[in-house]
This record gives sequence, structure tokens and C-alpha cells, in this order.
Amino acid sequence: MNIVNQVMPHPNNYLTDAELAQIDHEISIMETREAAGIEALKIVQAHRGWISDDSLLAIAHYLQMSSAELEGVATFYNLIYRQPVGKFVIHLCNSVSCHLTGYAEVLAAVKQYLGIEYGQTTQDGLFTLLSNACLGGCDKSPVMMIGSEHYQQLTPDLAIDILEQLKQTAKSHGGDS
Amino acid sequence: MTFDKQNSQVTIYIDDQPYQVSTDNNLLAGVLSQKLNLPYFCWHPSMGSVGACRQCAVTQYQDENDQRGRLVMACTTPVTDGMRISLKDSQSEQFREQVIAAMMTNHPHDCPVCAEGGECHLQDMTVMTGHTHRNYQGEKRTFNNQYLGEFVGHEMNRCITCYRCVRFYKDYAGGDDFGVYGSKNQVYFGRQQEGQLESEFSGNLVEVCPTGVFTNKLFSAHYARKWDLQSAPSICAHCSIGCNTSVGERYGSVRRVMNRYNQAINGYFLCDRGRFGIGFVNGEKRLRQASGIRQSSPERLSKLDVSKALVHFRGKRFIGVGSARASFEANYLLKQFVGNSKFSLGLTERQMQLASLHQQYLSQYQPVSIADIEQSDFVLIVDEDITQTAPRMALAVRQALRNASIEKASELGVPHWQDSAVRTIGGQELSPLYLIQSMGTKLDNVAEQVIMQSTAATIKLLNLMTELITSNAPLIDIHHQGQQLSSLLNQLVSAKKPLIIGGWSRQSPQLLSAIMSLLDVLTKADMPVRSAIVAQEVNQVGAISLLDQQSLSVEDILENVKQEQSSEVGGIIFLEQELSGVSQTQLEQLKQTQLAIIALDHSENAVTALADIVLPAASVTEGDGHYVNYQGLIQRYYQVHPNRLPIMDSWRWLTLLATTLFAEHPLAKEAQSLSQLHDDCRQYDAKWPMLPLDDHYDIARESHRTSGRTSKTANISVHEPKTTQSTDGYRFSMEGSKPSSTAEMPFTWAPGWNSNQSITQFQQEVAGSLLLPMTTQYLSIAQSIAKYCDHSEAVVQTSQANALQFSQQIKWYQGDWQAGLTPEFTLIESTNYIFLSSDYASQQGWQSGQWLQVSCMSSKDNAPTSVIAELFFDPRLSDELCYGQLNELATFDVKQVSLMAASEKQVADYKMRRKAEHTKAEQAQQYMLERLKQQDQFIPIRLMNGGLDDV
Amino acid sequence: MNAMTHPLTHLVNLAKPLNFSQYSEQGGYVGARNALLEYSPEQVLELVKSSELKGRGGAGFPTGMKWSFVPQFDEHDRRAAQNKYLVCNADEMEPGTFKDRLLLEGVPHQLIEAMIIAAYTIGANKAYIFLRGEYFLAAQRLQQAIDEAYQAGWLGKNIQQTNFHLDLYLHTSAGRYICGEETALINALEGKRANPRAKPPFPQVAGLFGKPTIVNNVETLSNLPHILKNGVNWFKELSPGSDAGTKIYGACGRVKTPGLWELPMGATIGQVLNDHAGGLCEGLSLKGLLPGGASTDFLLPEHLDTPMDYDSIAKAGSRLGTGGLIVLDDKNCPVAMVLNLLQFFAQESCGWCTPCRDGTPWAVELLTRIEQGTGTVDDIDSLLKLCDFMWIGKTHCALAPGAVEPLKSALKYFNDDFVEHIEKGCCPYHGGH
Ligand SMILES: Cc1cc2nc3c(=O)[nH]c(=O)nc-3n(C[C@H](O)[C@H](O)[C@H](O)COP(=O)(O)O)c2cc1C
Ligand code: SF4
Ligand code: FES
Repeated sequence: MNIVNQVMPHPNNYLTDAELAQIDHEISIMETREAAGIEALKIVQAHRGWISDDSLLAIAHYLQMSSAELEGVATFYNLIYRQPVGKFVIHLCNSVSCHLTGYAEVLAAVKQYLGIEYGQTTQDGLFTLLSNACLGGCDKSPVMMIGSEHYQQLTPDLAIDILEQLKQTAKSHGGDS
Repeated sequence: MTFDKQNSQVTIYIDDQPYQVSTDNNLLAGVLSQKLNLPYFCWHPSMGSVGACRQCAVTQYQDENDQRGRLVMACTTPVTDGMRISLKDSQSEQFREQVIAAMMTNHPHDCPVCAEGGECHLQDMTVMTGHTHRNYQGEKRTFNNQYLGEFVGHEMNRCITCYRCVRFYKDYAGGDDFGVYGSKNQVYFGRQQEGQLESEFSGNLVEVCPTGVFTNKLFSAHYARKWDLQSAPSICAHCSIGCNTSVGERYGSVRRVMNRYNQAINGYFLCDRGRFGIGFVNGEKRLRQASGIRQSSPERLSKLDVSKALVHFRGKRFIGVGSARASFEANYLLKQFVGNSKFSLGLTERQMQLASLHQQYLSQYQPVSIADIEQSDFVLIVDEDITQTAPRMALAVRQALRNASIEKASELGVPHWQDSAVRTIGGQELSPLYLIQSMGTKLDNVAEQVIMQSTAATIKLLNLMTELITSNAPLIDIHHQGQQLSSLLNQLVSAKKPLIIGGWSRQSPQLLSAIMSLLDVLTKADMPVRSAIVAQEVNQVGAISLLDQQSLSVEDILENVKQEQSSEVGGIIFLEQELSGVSQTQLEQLKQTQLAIIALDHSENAVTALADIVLPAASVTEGDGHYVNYQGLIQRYYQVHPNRLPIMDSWRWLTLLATTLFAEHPLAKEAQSLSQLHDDCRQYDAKWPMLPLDDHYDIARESHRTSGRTSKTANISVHEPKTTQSTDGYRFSMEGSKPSSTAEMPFTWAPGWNSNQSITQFQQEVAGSLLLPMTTQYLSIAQSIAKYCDHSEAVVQTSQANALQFSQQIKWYQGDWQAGLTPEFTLIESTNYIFLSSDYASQQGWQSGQWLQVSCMSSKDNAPTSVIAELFFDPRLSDELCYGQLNELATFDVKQVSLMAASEKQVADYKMRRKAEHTKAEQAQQYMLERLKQQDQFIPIRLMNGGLDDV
Repeated sequence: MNAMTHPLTHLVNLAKPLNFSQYSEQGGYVGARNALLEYSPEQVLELVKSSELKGRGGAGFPTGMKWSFVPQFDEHDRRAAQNKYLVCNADEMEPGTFKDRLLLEGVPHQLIEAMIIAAYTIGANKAYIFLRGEYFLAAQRLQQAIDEAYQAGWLGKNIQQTNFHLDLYLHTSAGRYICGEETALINALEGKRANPRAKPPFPQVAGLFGKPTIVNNVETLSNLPHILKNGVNWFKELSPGSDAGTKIYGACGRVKTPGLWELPMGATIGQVLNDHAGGLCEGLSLKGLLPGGASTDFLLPEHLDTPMDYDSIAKAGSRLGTGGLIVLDDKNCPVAMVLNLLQFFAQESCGWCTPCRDGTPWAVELLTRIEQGTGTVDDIDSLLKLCDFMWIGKTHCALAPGAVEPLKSALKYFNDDFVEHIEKGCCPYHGGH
């Protein structure tokens, strides 16, 4: 144990019981604690939307690894968000099959509809637009992924319909609570 | 790195020429060992190969008839008998050029403002590949830089992504606050968040990085190009390891310390105390004038002034208090002049016991070298935090722990230099390291076992181990630590190269004695045990070799002082002795005597403050002399820059004083040079150790590219001043023999190799010994203080109910008084903290993170001092033991503390005080810089030739 | 579709995959039962070797041979006794490749059965499915199937009352193509940055957590139950050509019916493209195609008769890769397509070795300029040099050479298009969509 780590322990109560239970399961199936790092990041991200510095430190502390090491991992993988993201993260496939079948038009439409570029989040905090390497839906391209949902055979209109619907559900949910 | 090196030489053909190359290393190392040029980045002689940069490509042919060949990375290719390769074929040449061109797509063209300029490995390699034209027209990526603390600058845009920094910092040196982030061509190296680098080896990033991403901030702040520095070989003056350094100066101020390769000791790496602790030389606490002497001329102190001031002490006897940081020569002279019965090293009685044991140890054993430590297959460290007291040794221990992986890899036919492959195969497997200690250390997480207990318990445990080995008794039932102990003992006795390390820092003769008994039984049983005892200061071993039966302890001196009226003693001469372990009361006692106190030192301290006469002594970089390291190895340090009179070497001061005070003594004549002094000593004393002294090279301290003498002083006069005369074999000029004419190179440079990596050109083979042999002469040390019979621990009895055993953690930037004068070291000091067992703390109702008031029982002064410290838990502690860092008490021998909650006011006061200290250090830093830069405008300085009266 | 001609896909049901009992009723777990109860691991290895099954992950390495490098069967070899691992490579991120997804979502039990056989053979007691993070549906279905298999006694301790134990875990990744490279995958599974490892040591000797490890592709593994059920001869006879078994071929791009088809190994490009994918969309004609994913060389219309087996495709100047055709029509700009591919590789480079890390973005820079009409003839030369620079043997892993394949072949076959961009100062295909 490093002296400095000892001096600045991270509060153990940062991670919720639900998060800890899931992380513990991932630890249990691996030979080392740190092998659960990627899964742990994904778990916390699923609960909180993104990985803040505090989350990163808490996970590193829990896995008994250095925050530098975990940061190295977190910044390597593109599905870990180290910045706040919108409620819906749009992963628009920009690989070759989608490119050949009209990705550019879909992208232009989405950008225009949301008023943002790649890497940005809409002002209402609803959408973040990211590109993604081939989503494995090449026979039904162009494709995008939002949350765990894949949307295929996109046209500019269809893409905007989908975003519109998501916006509506978000609004009605917002109204409920 | 490996044990059982099978170093067989085979013939390989490089561009059809036969060469004899060792099979123990890779092809790149083989090629470089032939002094052939082959560029590389990611490979490092100490860190092995990972094949990332692809710079070292060569073409390998199957046989003479193979015309096409195939490209291989030399650093990941083993050397095999009869192999044929080409460095000159167009295929590999073109590829190597392309690699550089690709790196250059993102490298900025900021060489003029880059501190690495002129000694940049990337510059060298670029020229080597013939890449002289830029093709890429796109944009360059940019990064934000981080604040990495007081020592290391960060300019990420210069990064060529060779991964060396993170491999050094994390993999090699075990640092965990530095990493690699991102991917593709956006790879970032740095900390997770900005802040002071925590590793005590961070400074090596400057040398390990092949370009200017990591730079020495202290050097950059007062910068000169490498070719404009004057450099000399030196010895790091900050701990007992004796790492070899190359110190660079310009216009009379020290600019930086670089590693100087010594295969047996520091290899390629220094610790930060050595690299950055040099700041004291330029510091604000330096003594630059004599005091207590009436000068006839206000500008200049003359010999006559000195002798007038001393003449009325003629015929009186003096007590001489030498020190472990003064040169061997100065200590020797002091002892000769004052006589055996009046000589002291300022050690307490207890330290005299330690010294006695250490003498005995050195007379019986040859301590293991740093390079040999890396070969160990079992390491036991007993209550000495070498990560802080001898960091370079701890770095070697880390490498030793990899031997298990290396062996496992070699079973699969993977050679030791395939660094990433060895790490893949080895996984988390380490050779056994056992720590028996009274505090947490940075090696804990690589140890097989940490036995955390009080020093007293450790002594018992060691004695038990000794007994068990002697009697061969089964131990499980005897001792509550039986389980731990049996695995420790089993591994110890079955290891091929076991190593036991102890040291002075617990200040416990009993502990040292227990370690020696264990060594004794192991040695008697013919076990191949090796050992090292870490001393506290650079020349401690040299100094204690001078102690004998009649030598005085501090207590003896105080006793003497009390009787001063009746004695014939006229005064005390303190030789570079700050008496840091002596209490305020004791200092008061000294102050109140009628004795004349003469202090020779380079910087202000408690002793110079109370002295009647203070003579400004040369610091390590202004002086010449020898230090003796923990192994007894005698090493020479050379003058880097001329001393500004009246600053002089202590040994010069002593011979000068002797002409007045000890005129009858045969050595009482002013020595003109170190070699003359040695001649005199040799004639005078048959037992004078033959210190290595080769002063006949006439080697240039400056590179042949240096901006000439005339231009240096052009702001004052274009008239060419006389060069400073030197007496030590190195010239203050660019004229002279090549730096490589000696093993003690002032700096390294070879055609085409401007960075420190040029050292390869001067090694027999890569990472091997130097072409010209290093002198390795050991001081022969006999036990001459009779062993003190009573080693019983003086346990401080205390009346407080909640008193705990306490172990002080001394940080690397604190352990050495001189280095501690460097302002940056104050800036990085952590706040006070104390670790307790969580059980104990919760009984008291204390929380982690709260502040406690710590009352200390120092064995020096029975008056308790109280400080405050932040509380943390260490579950490994027992209820009787605690450890921590109490900065105000760093030099005191605190053994017991009692604790209570601190008030908010105390905390607020403490924080305010610290803030004030910080501000003061920052000011000192600024002030020093301003002064130095101004001073640069006023050269030439008065130069040293013959001594004080020289004009 | 029937079990004997379409072993891999006949049980695929994308709407609702078969659960354990349905799968068993359809002949599932017979192969695994045969392996565990009828054969010793040595015998299974012999079967797999003689079946001549080759890896379907892209490289086509003989599976049996790969397995035989794992230290095993030797009681005196202490390394044979240590933990071993089986890992299924379900990272499928090669652009234009979506075949594993079909098997994962459509018939998860088949993969589990296959992994039981493979683990038994190499002596692994722990196995992981390394699934790309974006395949959420597959993750859910696999986990369900794994749970069922545990309940049915096909996973866990003493499987089917034998001495064989196997724990099978699903690991979902967090993105990045390089994770498909098997040693990078192992690093990712260990929770590290997914840089490929130095080889040797090969994973078969020192892989996951330093232990012997076999990494196989989903489709490769999925053949095993059928080989064990129907025999080696059946497997070899499935294909008329030189490579054994069937292969899941695919087609995407602007073809009439993009999709996946399990065909005998060695079906021709023309059969896949015209008979199954229905040829090009109305008004378009074939300009070229990548036969097996983004990292294979372009082939031309003249290659339509080439059988899609390893050797024939290699003879034609490309690689079978994953067997997924990416079809370039005459109205899509080849320069833009290659730019897109290189952007992918530059984006997905792990950042370890110089040629790939700095070479792929450099190629992107040059291609961008050419595509936008601001390139020069020298740029084509520079691209050719970069192809050489990033070729096999010069990089740390196969990603960069994979990027070179489409680039180099495009420069060869579509040189006129590059030149036209430069001469016209714009993209001649603009408005082609
Ligand atoms: C950059 C790169 C990406 C790869 N991606 C995949 C992949 O997504 N899935 C896969 O099965 N193999 C992939 N491979 C091939 C694997 O390294 C490995 O050869 C394969 O998993 C072995 O399985 P097999 O023998 O069953 O084909 C990739 C290779 C490289 C170099
Ligand atoms: S070719 Fe090099 S940089 Fe590219 S993915 Fe492979 S190892 Fe990483
Ligand atoms: S030095 Fe050989 S690849 Fe970097």
C-alpha cells in the first residue's frame, strides 16, 4: 500500500450497494480484482450516466488499483464516458457499409436536427452525438445505437422520427416525476 | 537483471563483416555494443525490449545467398550464431527514416525553446536516419500539459509515444501515480490529476524520455545548453549509496545533476534526492564569508588575518568533531591534528555503539553492491525503510523481485530482455521479499509478507530466528508468528542468493547486533547469504573507520565541556557538523562554555550560529575529495566549479589552521592540491589508505562546442581572461583530452550521440562495464572501538497512560540535512500524519482524518514537545505501535508518543504556519534565482589558484 | 434448411432462440455428450485436427493445431496441470462483418455446447465469452442460455456426472476493434488497456493471467458440436473445395438483399453476390468488392468466379478474412470509401507501434486531401510508401497491415479515380448517391 493512498483514503460509501453487489460479482469471476475494472466502470456508468473523477477514484480504490491505472483503462475504451453525456447517447455507425448506404445524409440530418456536432451534447441535456465503429448491422445499414437499442435501415427522416420519439418519452417521463 | 548469465560470444555478420556478439542480449544491444549506429527509442538498456517504436529495424538474411532478407526489429530479435543482418540495405534504411518521419508528423519544431535541445535523443536519431525533410502537411495534434510538481516539467506535444516514461515510472520503479491514457495517436502520459509526482525516482523521466516531454524544472529555471555547461564527475552527497553523478555548472552556479553511469552502483538511474537535492549549493543559507575574524582588508580575508585570529590558542588542545558528510581527507586531518583522544564524529553514545557494530560488520563482511542486489532471489529487509533512506537500493530490490518471472520466462525460452513478454509470463509473480518493520513503506505491496511490529519485537524475532537456525528446532509451536516465520526461514535457507538488509535509521544497536548474529549463523552454516547495512550519510563509513577506542561521543564532549576550566582544552573545531541530533539544551550548554568554537561549514546551521569563528567550506561541487560508501568503496568527487574565495575545501582550511594551531604537527603545512595532500599523508602515515587518485588526464570540463571564453565574458570585456587553473586533472576549458579519456567522464558525448545515451559508446557492451575500468578500491576497516557490552534498549519510561511506541517516517527529501536546504524540498513536504491501529483509535473514539495532538518523548531531551498530526488507520498495526511523519521532529529520536484530540485552533494554527513556510520557501526560490541570474552578469569571478592570498 | 447441410444456422431463430430443452430436443448437446462420455480429450483433439477445421476469425489458422500447442496430457509437465482458459472471441467489430451476431443472438446454446467441447479438450475449467459491448441483445440471450446450461448440469461441477468442471462467464467489452486481436483481447479481459502483446509467448502457452489460453472465434467453435455429432468425414464432405465445412458468407453495400448465408466452403463470390444477395441495386453496377471484411484487398468484377476459400481468394490477391463481402458500386467514390476505411483504422489503432499509430492518420490526411480535390500526384506516391511502411512484419500486430490491404489494392485497381480527383480538383462522384 502506498503511503499517499493511505493518507487519502476514498470514502467507502460513495458506491451504492447495488453497484457494489454487481462489481463484487465481476470480481468473483476473475483472478485479480483489477480485472473487473472495465466491468466496474460500465456498471457505475449504467447507474450514473458517466464516469466522473469521483466515480473513477472510488472504483480504483475499491479494486485496490491506482487511479492512474484505471484512468488508462477508462480512456482507452470508447464506451466509457469520462465526460457528462446526455440522457440519450447516440452512437452513429460511421463504418464502411453505412458509408456506402447513406450514412452521410443521416448524419447531416441528425446534426441539423439536434444542432450539435460529434462529441457535443444538446443544451437540454437530452442527446449526445458520438460516432461508432461498425455496429454489426451492415446488412441493414445505416445503423445507430442509442442506449441498448440498435436502429437499422435508417433514412434521414426515420432517424429524426426516432429522436423525436425519444424526446417525447423523455418529456412525458419528466412530467410524471 | 538475470542470474546465471550465460554470456557466450558468437559470430554474426553485419553487412558481411564478422563481429563477436554476446548471446545474452538482443540484436540491438549487440549492434550497439559494436559501436555501430542503429537508432532506437522504446528499448532501454535497463528496461529491455517491447517492440513499440519500430525504430530499430534491420534486415535479416537467411544465408549468404538470400538477397531479399526480411525486416526484423533488432531489439526483439535474439542473437544467434552465424546470423546475417544488414544495417545499410535500402529496405531497412528507408523504413527507419519512415519511422522518424511518422513520429515527426506530430512532433513540434520547438527545438530552440526546448530544454532538451542539444542533447536530445530524438534529434540524434533523426539525423542518424537521414530524415532531413518534412513531408507531412497536415495539422499536428496538441495536448494540455500538466503541473507535475516542483521538479519535472511537462510538454506533452513533444511526445513521440515510445512508452519509456510509463515503463520506467510504473513498471521499473513501481510508481503508481503516473500512467498512459487514451489511444490511437492521442496517447497521453502523465498523472491522473495534476500534482506533485510521488515517486522518489521521478527525475529519471528527464533522462529516460528521448525528447523534451519531461524536463528538469530546476535546470530550466536557470538554463544553459549542455554544450555550454562545465561538468565534472561527482559523487552524490546525499546518502550512503554513493551514486555517481555528473554535475553541470555555468558562471559559477550549479545547474543540474545527471546520472553518471557506474555499472556496479547506480547504473542508469538516480533518485530525486540526488538529482534535485543539489539546490543547497546555490542556496540562501550558504556561508560565503568568514565570520569572527578581523579582516585587514574589507574585500579579502588573508592568511595573516586567520593566523592572527587564532594565535592566542597556540599550544592549547582542541576537540575536533568531524562528520559523516565531510570528506575522508578532512576527517582524517582533523583527527590527526586534535589527536585520538580528542576526536569525535558528533555521535551519541548509542550511535557510537552502532558505529562499533558497523565497524565489526564491515571487518567481517563485504556488503553487496547495488548491481548484485538485483541478482537476489530472496530479500529480507529489517526495519529500515530503504525506499527513503537509500532509494537507489530500493530500486535495485524491486528489480531483484522480478527474477522469479525472468526464471519462469526462461523456462519457456523467453529471454530476460523481452520485457513485456517476461511480464506477461510472470504475471504477478515476484521473488520473495520479507519486510519486518515498524512502519509502512512503499515496498509493502510487493512484499510476500510484511511483519509489522515494534523494533523491540523485531530484535526478539531475529534472535529467535538465529536460535532456530542454530538449533534446527521446529518452530511452529514455539512462536505465535511460527507460520510466518517458517515460510520466511524456509525460503531464506533454500535461496541461492539471499540478501539481508538493515540499517541505522532505527538507531538501535540491539537491532544491528541481532542482524549480525543472524548473519553469523547463516555464514557459519555455509549459506550464501549476502547483506548490506545502510548508513545514514554519504561518508559515514569513511568517517567511522576513523573512530577508535579513545574517540569521544557527544556525551563525552559535553562532559569535557563542563570541566573545561580545569582542562587544557582551548576550543572545539566542528567540521561540517550541524549536530542535528543534539537537543536544544545541549546546544545551550555548548554555547555557554568559554571554549572557542570554530565551525567549518558550507551553510548556516545550529553550530555555525553559536560558533565564534565560522569558516566557509566548499560544498561537494566546489571541492575535491573522497567519500566512502556503504560498501567501503572509496570514490572521488571532483571540483565542478571554482570556489569563490574565501570558500575553501575543509581540508585546505584545516591545513591552514594547523599552521597556526598545530604547528608542530608534520601535516601542518598548507596543501596546494589534493594530490599533494595525499603525498604528505602517505609519507606521514604508513597506514594512510591508498585513495585512488589519477590526476593526470587534462580532460576538458567543457565540450568542444562550448561558446568560447571570450564570448562568455563579452558583456564585460572581449579580452580573453586567463582560464581558471585546476589541480585535479580536469581543465576549466574546452581544450584538453576527450571526456572519455577516463572512466570518470565529466559528461558523455560521442559523435552523433549528444544525449546521455551516448554512454553505450563507452561500454564494453551495452549495460556492461566501461571500456576504461573504474577504480574500485575498498577501505579496509577494522573494528577499533571495543564493542560496547551493554546493548540493552534504553526504554523510555513514561507516566502517561496512553503512551505508544512510535516510529518516525523520514521522507527521502528530509533524511539528508544538506539536501533539505533545497527550497523545493520544503515545498513538497507533506503535512504531519500518524497511523494507528483502527482498533485503538476506535477505542479512543477517533476517526480517520481527524487531527491529534501528539506529545513526544524524545530520548534526547526529556521535555515532551507536542505537535499535531492527521490521523489515519493502518490495520496491520498492533495497539501499542504507531508510526507517522512529524516534520518538526524529523531530526529527533522520538520513540514514544501520547495522543489526544487536537483543537480546531491548533489545526488552524498549524495550517497557517505551514502556509507561511511555503511562502518563505517560494520566496527563497525566487530570490535565489534572481540572485544567480544577476551574478551571471558579473563574471569573471575571483578564481582559486594557490589559496587565500592568491591574486 | 437442414442439420446436415446447414449445421451452423439451421437452428437459428432470431426472433426467439431455442431454450435449453428446445435446443436439446433438436439434437443439441449430443456433440458435447459424445465428447465427454465417449472420448478422451486426446481423442477429441485428434478428431478436430483431422476435420481440418480452420479458424473463422479471419486468419484461418487450423484449429486443431492451435489447440495442440497447449501443454496437456503430460502428467510430468507441471505446466499441463495449471489453470487453463478457453476464450470465445465474440468481439466482431470488423466493418462489414456481422456473422457472429447471427449465431450469438440466434442460437446461443450452440456456442455454449461448443465451448464445453473445446474446454474439455484443452483441459480448461474456466471459459469466457468476450462479447463486444454493443451487442446488448446477444448479451442478454447468452446469459440466459448460460444460466440454463448451469441448471441443466452442462456447466459447473461434474458436468453430466463426469470429472469435468467448467465455469463459463460472459464478459462484455467496452468498445474498440483492437480487442478482437487475440492478445489485445486477453489484456482487455484482464482489465487492462487492449494493446496487443508481444509474441512469443503465444496465448496457448501464456495467455490469460499468464496461463495457457485458447482464443477461438464464435463461428469456428460453433462447428464443434456438429463435428462431434456427425463425424469428421461428414464435415469434410460438406464442401466440394479444399477447405472443410460450411462458411457463413455475407454481403453488404448497395446490393438488393444484403444478408448472411451458410454455404459450403468455397462458394464463389458470384454465387454469394448474385444468387444470394441478388446482385447490385437497380441502376448500379459492380465496381469492386472486399471479400472478407474491411481489412482485405479489393477484388474486381473479373473475380466473380473465385471460390471463397482460403487459397483461392489468396490466389486472386486478397484474403478470405471473415467471408463478408463489402460491395462497392459504380456510383460510390472509391477514394471516399478507402478514406472511410482508413479513418476507421486510424481511429481504432491502439497507439502502440509507430507505423500504425502515426501512419494511419497520415494516410487519412493524404486521402482527405485527394478526396477533396486538393491532393497532388506526389500524394499518391506518399500513400504507396505508407502502404509499404505499415506492411506485415513492420508493425506490432496485424491491424495496420489490415489497413494497408484495401488501400494498396485500391491504389492499384482504382488509380484512375485517384488521378481524376487530383486532376479535376474535386470528387467526380459527387452527387452519385
Ligand atoms: C485487429 C484485429 C482484429 C480482430 N478482430 C477479431 C474479431 O473481432 N473476432 C475474431 O474472431 N477474430 C478477430 N481477429 C482475429 C483474432 O486475433 C484471432 O485470430 C481469432 O480470434 C482466432 O480465432 P480462430 O482461430 O477461431 O479464427 C482480429 C485480429 C486482428 C489483428
Ligand atoms: S499495428 Fe501497432 S498501433 Fe496498430 S493496433 Fe497493432 S499494435 Fe496497435
Ligand atoms: S527500439 Fe526496437 S522497436 Fe523500439
